[in-house]
Amino acid sequence: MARRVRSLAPVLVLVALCLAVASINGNFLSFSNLVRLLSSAAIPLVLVMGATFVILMGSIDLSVEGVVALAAVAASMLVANDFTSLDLGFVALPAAMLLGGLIGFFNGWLHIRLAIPSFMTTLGIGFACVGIATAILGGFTVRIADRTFRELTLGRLLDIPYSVWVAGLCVAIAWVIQERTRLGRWVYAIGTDEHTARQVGVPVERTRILVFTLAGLFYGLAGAMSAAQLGQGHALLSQGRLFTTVTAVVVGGTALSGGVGSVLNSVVGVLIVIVLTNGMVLMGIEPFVQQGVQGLLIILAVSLALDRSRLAVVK
Amino acid sequence: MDLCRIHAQSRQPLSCDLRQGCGEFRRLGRRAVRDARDRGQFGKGHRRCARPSRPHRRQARAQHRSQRQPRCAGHRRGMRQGRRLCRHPVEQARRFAPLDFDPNYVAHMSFDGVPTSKAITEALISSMGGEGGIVAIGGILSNVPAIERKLGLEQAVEASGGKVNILDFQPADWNETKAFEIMQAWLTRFGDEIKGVWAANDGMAIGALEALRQDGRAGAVPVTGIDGIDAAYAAIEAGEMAGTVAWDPNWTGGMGLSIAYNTALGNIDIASEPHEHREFYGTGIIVTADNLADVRGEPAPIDFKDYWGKATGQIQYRG
Repeated sequence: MARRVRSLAPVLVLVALCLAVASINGNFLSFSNLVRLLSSAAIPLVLVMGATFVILMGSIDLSVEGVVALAAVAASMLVANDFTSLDLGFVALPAAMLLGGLIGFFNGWLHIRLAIPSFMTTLGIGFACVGIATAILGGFTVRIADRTFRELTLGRLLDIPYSVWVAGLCVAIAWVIQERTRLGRWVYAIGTDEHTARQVGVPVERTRILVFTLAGLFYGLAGAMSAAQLGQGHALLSQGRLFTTVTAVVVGGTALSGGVGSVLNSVVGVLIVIVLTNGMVLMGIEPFVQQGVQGLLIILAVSLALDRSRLAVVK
Repeated sequence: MDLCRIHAQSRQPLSCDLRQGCGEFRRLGRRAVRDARDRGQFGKGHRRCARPSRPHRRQARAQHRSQRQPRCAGHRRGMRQGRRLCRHPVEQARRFAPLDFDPNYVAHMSFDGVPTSKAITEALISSMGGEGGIVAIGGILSNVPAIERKLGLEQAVEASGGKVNILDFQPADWNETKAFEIMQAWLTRFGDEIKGVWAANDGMAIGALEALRQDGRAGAVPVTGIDGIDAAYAAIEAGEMAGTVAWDPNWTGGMGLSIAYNTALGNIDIASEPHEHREFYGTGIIVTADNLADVRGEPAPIDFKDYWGKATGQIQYRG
């Protein structure tokens, strides 16, 4: 019973948060604001779908900002723009994903082959990616002239931006991978106890590389979506994304130690983070205290969501 | 303090004995401080007094106490607390700049955010028809440019005599994604009350503009930024931004080189120039649809011998 309540804790936090904001500003629950919330949540959702698997496995991926920046720059250079003479339209989307997947594969490969902790590997690769993006552009910004590509975030289906539908599709795919594939089972096995997993024949190395590649695919897609959202690509486009991603995963109730959590938890986590940023402005909380409030609420959410009674060691 | 010089004077510049090296370094550093004081380089503001060496300490302390007018109040306090050096300001301490210490230091140029921000805010207000609510996106709260630009915004709003008000001010830390999200929340909170959007730089202005675009309001609500990036010019051309500030890049870069070059050639005796020639502000250019073509077009020739013709006063240290 207690475990059941705990697994619902992130949802309860989200509901309480929504009610608190709505009681101060009634506009919060208006359809147009909900659409705005969802459109803000779209890119973090795609990012989190990749990061959740990595964290479920007990690893961490800090290359988020680097991969997103590089993919955004690549995507903005492939569609009609003021930097290159290319005009490939929506080819940019799979191309950015492919690039992200390659970097993710490289992340995993380095992590396994050189036996470097994922923390350091991904941190280094992330920096390298930002560096490459800066070097390609020489500090400039690519402006996107392709209106159809920008429809990805500006166009709407049933009054909801396409980007939200894309994010929803990603959630569905991630959920299927988690629930219905061997890869999903293996991720949990490795995250819970890698030694046991190895003993029963889980291909640990292959799974790790595969999961980092999968995460890279999602980051690449998020990069292309960022470029479409702001109509430009540059090396600092992704600033702050890493913090949102990891916070959302943890606030949603996925343990950094691995093995506990789910992609659906992370969806709730993203919504909590987005509602929090949106709600603070709606409630008119002084900017000087916003960050402090955000920090406290994150600690509160994690303390409610994580089942710490079974943790033997907290580090 | 010239650390390199101290280091070079050291007997063991690359001492492998860290403790010995540190002691050496400290002694040389102290000597350099004393030399600087003898040369009067600390100015009137500070007086540094070295603690007397051990055998004379008792005697010196007695003498010190007996002195009617102590050398400085802080010295006595420092002695009581057993500090090695006292460095209490005697008069109100002046802020030191590199030019106080080094005759080879040439000059530093910057831009005054307050009047520039005031001017761009006035441009925003006039594009709003002179009245209505503004939402304002600031930079990192403790950054000097962010502080100055916010000050200019407030001055311009105050000068409107109540016809314009700031609905809300939020820092987006110079980050366009953050500006995008804040603008979205404002659209929910204020809706049609927003008559103008002020941003402390162009990146954040573009972020806010994209949030307006998603709402189908790009071009309907005037947005201003500061910095004069290409994307902002394009947005002004498209009628989506009301204006930005260009920091006169050709003059800034060219004159910076020219002053250094001519000092090196001996055409300028920089040590004898007044302070307002060694730390000075340039002038920002307000860019709107009216003068966009001129700003983007072929730059007018600059007289690189007229070093300080466009300078607007000595730099003030705020924040």
